[in-house]
Amino acid sequence: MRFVKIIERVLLTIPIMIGVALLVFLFMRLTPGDPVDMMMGDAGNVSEKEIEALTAELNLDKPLHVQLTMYLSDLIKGDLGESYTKRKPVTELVFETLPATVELALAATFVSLIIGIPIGVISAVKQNKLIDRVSMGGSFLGISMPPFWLGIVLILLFSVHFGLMPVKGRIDFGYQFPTVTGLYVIDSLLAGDFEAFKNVVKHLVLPAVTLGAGMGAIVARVTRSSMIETLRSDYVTLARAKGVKEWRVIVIHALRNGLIPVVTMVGLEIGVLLSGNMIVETVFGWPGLGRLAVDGIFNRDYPLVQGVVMFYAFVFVFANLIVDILYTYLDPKLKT
Amino acid sequence: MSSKFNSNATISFPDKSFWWQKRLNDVKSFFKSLREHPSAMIGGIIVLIFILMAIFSPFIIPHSSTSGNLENRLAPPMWMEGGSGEHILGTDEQGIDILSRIIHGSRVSIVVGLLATVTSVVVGTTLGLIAGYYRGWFDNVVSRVADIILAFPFLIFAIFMMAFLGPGFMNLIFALTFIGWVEFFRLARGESLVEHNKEYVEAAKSLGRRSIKIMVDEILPNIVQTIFVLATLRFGYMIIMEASLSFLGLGIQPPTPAWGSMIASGRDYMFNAWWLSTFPGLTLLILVLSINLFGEGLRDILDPKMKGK
Repeated sequence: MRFVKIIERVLLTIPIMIGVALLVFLFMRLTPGDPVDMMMGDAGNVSEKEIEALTAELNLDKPLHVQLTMYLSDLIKGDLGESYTKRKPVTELVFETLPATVELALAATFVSLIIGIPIGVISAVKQNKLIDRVSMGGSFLGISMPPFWLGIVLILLFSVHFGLMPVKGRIDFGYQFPTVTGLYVIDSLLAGDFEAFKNVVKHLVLPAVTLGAGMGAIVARVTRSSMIETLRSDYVTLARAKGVKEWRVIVIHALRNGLIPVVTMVGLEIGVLLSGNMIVETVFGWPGLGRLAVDGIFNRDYPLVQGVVMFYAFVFVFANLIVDILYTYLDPKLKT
Repeated sequence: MSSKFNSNATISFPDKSFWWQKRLNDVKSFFKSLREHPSAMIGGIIVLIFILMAIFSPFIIPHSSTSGNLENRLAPPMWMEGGSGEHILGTDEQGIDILSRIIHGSRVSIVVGLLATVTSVVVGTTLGLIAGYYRGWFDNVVSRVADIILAFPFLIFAIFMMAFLGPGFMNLIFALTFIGWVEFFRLARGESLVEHNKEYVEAAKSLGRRSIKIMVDEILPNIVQTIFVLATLRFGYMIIMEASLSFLGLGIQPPTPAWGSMIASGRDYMFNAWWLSTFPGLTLLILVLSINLFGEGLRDILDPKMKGK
């Protein structure tokens, strides 16, 4: 039964992806501004012939339905087209910048869990006490905080004022280590270069905190409400009655179930993390996917933007899928 | 006045006054419970102040918000060395008074936030009521479109839409509404689906009442409060979205003052003039925080079922 449900859920992603592809195609054609004009714009004098040649090269002279078929068949092959400005296949550009984005997203998730879960648990245990009120107030602040401004304030404080952290980028010049995973934190450790590792972590801290703060606030709230519920349940009362120490009750017995909603939430927040990325990467000059997309937008590099949209869509749909499947395993109520 | 009008008025009068009496009592009890939620009340008052500030901004700004004195550029706030009472929060890179720009900038935030929220509510609720009531192909089509939009996080969708549409006020409202309606659609559709099968709706139908009247009079009142709470919380979110887009240069364009673009242009002067980015962002934070406080309080008062969600 569960297997059938999973298959059903997997199949459901297909129409969604097709829908996204159609929507993107539609928007590209509805957008004012001819891509050929854009590309020729910088070249100065161009003849009719050259314009025709380029139009043919981009297949813009074909009827719309032919263009759509070509576009869809390229997509299925994983071909996202070629960037106007960088003169490189979009797929290649996406995979070049992806590790930086993944590293930042993982670090931000780590930050949010490390802040959010302890605060949530303490708040739940000390419900309605002062510490609960203070931390819930803090999480409220975190939710309302515009991330791009938080990033700038952190830079102003820790980089400009105290001079503790670098202002932008992933690593300073002069460090070199072989690329294995593409994640500098891991690569520098694998190379045994501790100085480089320190430099990488220093660059990572502020962006990760900026990106993770909002999510940490939500993690704290979700953890709190789910822990309050769990701590009231019968099996926790039983554990207490059996004389299990209170901290063991909380950490071993209650937390395991209390974290189920947090797992779901973190999965669903992957999308939010990636979207926050576009802003945070811009603020911190982080060379990731978000910056690639924002650069593409400003250079009117439509194939690049289009490709990144499709890639994002794929990631979100896939992440939702994983969460749904994980959920059927984690939540006993759904075991039918 | 014709006698016909008068007779009509006397017949409908008791009914109408009763209705108003009831609404008035609702409003009274609402304000009473608001007083028991001090944080919501404070939030509400601050939001009100911001709205008044936006309306009267041309009259209360101390200096011009679009032109300044280049000789007096990057002047620090008044409490710092070199600052003066003339420019309380200092001046920006063009010598424009920052306080004036912030006050004037509240217009963009409030107007875009309100308009985007209201259009989202109207579009989403209408489509949702219809889809849940009639079901069939219409429901299928709109629900699938909603699924596709929900496959994306809000901000990414908005960024890409603005990239394709180009910056500007109407495009901004369009892009935010294009994504914002989905939540209200789901809410209204769900309620419509459930209520549709209930006996009183069947009864109303067999009495020959028109579907639109059933939707508006019977189904809609069940969700008005939830919609109101959700809309308040979304209002704050829309304001952050607008600021984020303007920060990226995709929303409201300078010289029109908008907090997002002010924060963005302040980044270039981070090393010698921290006040450029700091104050607009702080104002944004205060406004959004107040809206959220008000919204959460509203939720506790109007919709206790949603508490903690």
